[in-house]
Amino acid sequence: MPEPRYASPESSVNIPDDIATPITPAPPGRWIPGEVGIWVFIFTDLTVFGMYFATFFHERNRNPAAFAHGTAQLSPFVGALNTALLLTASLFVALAVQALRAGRVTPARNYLLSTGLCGLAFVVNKFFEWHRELTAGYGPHHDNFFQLYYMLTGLHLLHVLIAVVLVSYLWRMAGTATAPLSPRRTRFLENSANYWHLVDAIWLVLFAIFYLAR
Amino acid sequence: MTVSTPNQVENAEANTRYLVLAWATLMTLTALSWWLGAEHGVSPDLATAAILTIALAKVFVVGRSFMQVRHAAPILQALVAGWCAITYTALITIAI
Repeated sequence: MPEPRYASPESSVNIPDDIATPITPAPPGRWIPGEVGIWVFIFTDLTVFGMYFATFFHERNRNPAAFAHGTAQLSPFVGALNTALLLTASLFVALAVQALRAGRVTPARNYLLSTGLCGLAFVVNKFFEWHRELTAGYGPHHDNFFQLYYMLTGLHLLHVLIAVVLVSYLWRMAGTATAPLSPRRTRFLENSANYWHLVDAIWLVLFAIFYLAR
Repeated sequence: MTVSTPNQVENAEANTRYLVLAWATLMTLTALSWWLGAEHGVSPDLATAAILTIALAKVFVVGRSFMQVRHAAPILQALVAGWCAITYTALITIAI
């Protein structure tokens, strides 16, 4: 007997099946957004970044003057602007998930397009920010602060680029979707949305430790 | 074609309001932590502790609201809260 699959408690429609296994409302305490695999990835990624955050403060304790100088070279305005872009993108993704579940394709595509534009704006902003810092002589070899700064923000930027590709794929998928979405597409939508929120969550800590911590 | 009952429309509207409220909270907390990051007579250790508290609280809010963890199985809710608590404790311990 095939394993039952569950719809989100927020689903406003009964989603028909694409491969003959009915989706039923999740029994209390069983539903997870997306698949187990994406959550294994999310916690692995969060743990790796968590160790880097700890490394940052460990190195900061060894050389507080260099880290205070490094933070002073970064623009908190630019960091806050990038934070606002990612938070707004996350809101759009969450609204797109809700709209697609309800079969409202046009608003969902608009939300996804807005998400992608916020993501691209983050990338452009980061490019100009790095350019400004590099031309001021603060490259990755300057000291431990900038080594960690370029490594972690670079790793995060790679996450953003992957998230933008996923969202552009979702935008295309939504264009050919017939309401309501099939379970396979619903899972892909939820997995991709959660990946985007992961990228957002990592940046929230990066912003705090590199731009603000004193 | 999808037909929504008034109850479903109401649920969608309530969920949209929840998401927008979460976004507004996150933006406000961002502004607050930006303010704390500047010199305002607050001691650096206290400012850093407050900034880290706000950052991990924001991650928790992102998980609960945008990632829909508030509706998820209790084990996932516990894992997300646990990651935030452990990371927060570790960072505060090392940083302060």
